[in-house]
Amino acid sequence: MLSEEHETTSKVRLSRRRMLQMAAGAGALSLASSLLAACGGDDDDDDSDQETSGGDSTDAPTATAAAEGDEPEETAAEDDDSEEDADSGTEEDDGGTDGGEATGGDAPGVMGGTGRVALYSEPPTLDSSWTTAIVVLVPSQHVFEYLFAWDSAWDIQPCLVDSFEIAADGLTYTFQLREGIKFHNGDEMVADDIVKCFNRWGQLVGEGIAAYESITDVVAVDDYTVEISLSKPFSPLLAYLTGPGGGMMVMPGEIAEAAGTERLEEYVGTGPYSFVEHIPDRHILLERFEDYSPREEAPDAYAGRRTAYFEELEFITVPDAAARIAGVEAGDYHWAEEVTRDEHERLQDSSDVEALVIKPLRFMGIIFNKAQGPMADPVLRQAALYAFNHEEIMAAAFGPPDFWRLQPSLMPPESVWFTEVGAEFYNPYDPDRARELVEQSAYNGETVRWMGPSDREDYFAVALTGVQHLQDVGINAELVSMDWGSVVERRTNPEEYEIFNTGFSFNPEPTTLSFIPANWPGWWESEAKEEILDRIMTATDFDERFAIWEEFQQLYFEEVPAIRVGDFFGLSIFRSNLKGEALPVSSFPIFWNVWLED
Amino acid sequence: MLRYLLRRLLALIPVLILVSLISFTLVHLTPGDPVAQILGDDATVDEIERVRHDLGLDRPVYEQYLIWVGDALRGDLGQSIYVNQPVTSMIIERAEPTLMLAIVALFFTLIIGIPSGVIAAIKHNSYLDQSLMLLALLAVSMPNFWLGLNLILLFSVYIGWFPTGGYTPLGESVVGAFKSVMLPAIALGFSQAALVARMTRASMLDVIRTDYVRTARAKGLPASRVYITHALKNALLPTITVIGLVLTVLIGGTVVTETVFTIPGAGRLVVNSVIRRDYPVIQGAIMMVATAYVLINLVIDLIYVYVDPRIRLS
Repeated sequence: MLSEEHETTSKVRLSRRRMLQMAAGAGALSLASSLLAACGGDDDDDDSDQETSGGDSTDAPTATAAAEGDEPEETAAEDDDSEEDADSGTEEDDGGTDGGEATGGDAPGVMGGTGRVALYSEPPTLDSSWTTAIVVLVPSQHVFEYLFAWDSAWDIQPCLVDSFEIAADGLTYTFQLREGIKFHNGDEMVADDIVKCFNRWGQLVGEGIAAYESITDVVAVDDYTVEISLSKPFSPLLAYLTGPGGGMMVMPGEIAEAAGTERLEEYVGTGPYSFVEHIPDRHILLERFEDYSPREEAPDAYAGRRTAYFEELEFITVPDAAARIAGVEAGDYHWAEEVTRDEHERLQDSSDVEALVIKPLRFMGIIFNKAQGPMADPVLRQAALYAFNHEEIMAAAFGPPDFWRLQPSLMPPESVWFTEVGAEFYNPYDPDRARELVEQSAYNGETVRWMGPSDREDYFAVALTGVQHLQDVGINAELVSMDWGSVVERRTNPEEYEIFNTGFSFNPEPTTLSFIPANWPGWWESEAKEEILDRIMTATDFDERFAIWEEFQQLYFEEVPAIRVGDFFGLSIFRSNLKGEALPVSSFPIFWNVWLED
Repeated sequence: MLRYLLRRLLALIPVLILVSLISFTLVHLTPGDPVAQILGDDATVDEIERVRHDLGLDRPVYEQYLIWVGDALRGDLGQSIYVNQPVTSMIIERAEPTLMLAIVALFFTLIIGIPSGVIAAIKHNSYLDQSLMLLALLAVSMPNFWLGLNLILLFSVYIGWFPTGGYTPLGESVVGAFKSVMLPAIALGFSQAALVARMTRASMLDVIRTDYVRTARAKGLPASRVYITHALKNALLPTITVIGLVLTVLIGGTVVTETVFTIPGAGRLVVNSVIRRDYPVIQGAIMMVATAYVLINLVIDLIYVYVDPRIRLS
């Protein structure tokens, strides 16, 4: 039941106009306006350096309210959608989506109890800056917060920031922090902490390192004001700071400083839950943080008010899929992720368990080694583009079409960056054309090694089918079977392979796509690419950035650094008495604003 | 006796050196990189290189081994690469669930295995004997995980008597601890009991045909006394060997059962560490298991002497 609703939730797309307005806030560097106010209307856009509110302070109207006021016909439909989603997700919370009403204290759910979440793999740490592993994020985002948070339309909303301004030239960002925010160790969060977090982020995290090519200085102006100076405009800065999935984790300055580029030894954040213990392969235990000060806006995905209903949250690693399902059916766990897709039908009929299709979860990508070997030849990669039958590959790997789809864009249809530019080169399956291109290329029948992880059934099926397709057009492809651990090691060494395949998770900001950097396995070095990236990083207006992104997508189809085969979905299940509109959020489930009904 | 003990304990040293050397080499020869795994899919090659350097994984293997040996001699088995916790404390944490599971499983093994073996031997060639042995054959052939999953389905999902998985430490709840190991212990005990039953039956059959058993009967002793006191005591010797083997298997970790029941035991630690290429943990756990094997064998030898006074330690 909820699965359908979730599909509607993730399909709630920003109207183009609203997105443009938002981007005007995020990227319009000639204008100093907060995102929220930008959402609100065009009026603000003309006033540079106008201080805007994140909606937290009591005397300013909240942004969403402003949006509704200024743009009745445009946003009404949107808000209706989200309200419907909210209502169907929860039974009691009907005041939820009215941004103007800060319902703060009167929580609609049931307080207390322990929420038990079955994870499919063991998180190596809670430091999601140190690793990009997704499994870390799920527990981590309950402990650590970010300056900004994503809402359900993948808009940027303030989280620990109260308000901010961007100078007219786009070279100075000023963040006004929320006051009275307590860390789990009892200290108050001040600007100095944020400065030190910036330092760590700039040395450690890919996005941070990229941002620091433009950032020259981050200083604490006073206890609650942080000023960031840039040498040149850097339009994705706010998106890069936004969590979860990337973002800059906020922690006490001394901890950030002590950790440096090493992984965190202690987990002290500002989130609604604080860290208790991590016993590997047993659990990660969090408890409600009593001094948490929630935002006042209504909850909206990762943004807005966060209420910790559970007294304790326990994340348990249950690597066996059958055991995860049995555990939820027996009531030992309330939520389990990565459930076998074959079980979907059976689980839908259960009255105790709800099944939720996570859409999209990831996309399957085939990566070519462009540093050396036969696939370094772009003509041969073009041949491969025509050799693959995407439908066959996706069906072999992910089974019934309920769990995958084909679509031509690098960014999914749920994203504002969706574009069909170059769609004629997507899945152009034509073996004859492929054979012609093989002839034209410099290829001389060398072995093309494709690393397939035999311990990941679905990923392996992609390799198996793909190798067959390449052989059909005269490419001497060979499946090299190994475990996943070996694939991730060997893919960093250009001598070991020509092709591998893996799943890529969705990130709202297109420039963070993993295979873009030249130092990611596959080594996509291209002057044209760097030139486009340079422009998209400094472009200020969303329209302008979008046009550049379309150029990027066109280039991707021409140079074929990788092939995006298709999107695949995940399946999560939870107990029917687990309630809360936050439930169907995405591949990083959240357990604040979620409670257990008796 | 004391000299014997000392000698056996000293023999542990070369065994451990050899085990550490072989396991270190094997583990490092296996392709795979712990860092690429912890850093996740989006990590760039530069990031991976940086962390490899931080962890000293870019040094030559022999150098890494020597560093490890040096630390191990001081009682420090190093830090887990994957979860960044001391290996020693991780192993100690695993000891409780593994020992609990082993002890309860051994209990089931013995109370099912020995009586059925004895009964089958006494009722040799009867229907009872044949059905017991058929059951034993089934139990040995049935995969543990399959039995385990069925037990979960029946007792956890349908009836709800036991949790589907996980482990409650003794310190938190004694009842909880027993409840959490009950199903896996049955799953494990069942197949091991079959082994013990077959062994007990075979050696009982040998013993009850000997002269002294006939004499005991002839002088009018009750059957129970003849079988339990006279026959079983002598028949147990090979069974004890099997029990020793069973126990080493249980302590060394019963990977599949632990995974199915989500028990954070030694077996899962080893297998997960291999998958994650968590070298220090693999190394530490193998050392622990090797030590346990040697010690259990030593204890079994000592029990032999007690059970059969003809055996002399030398």
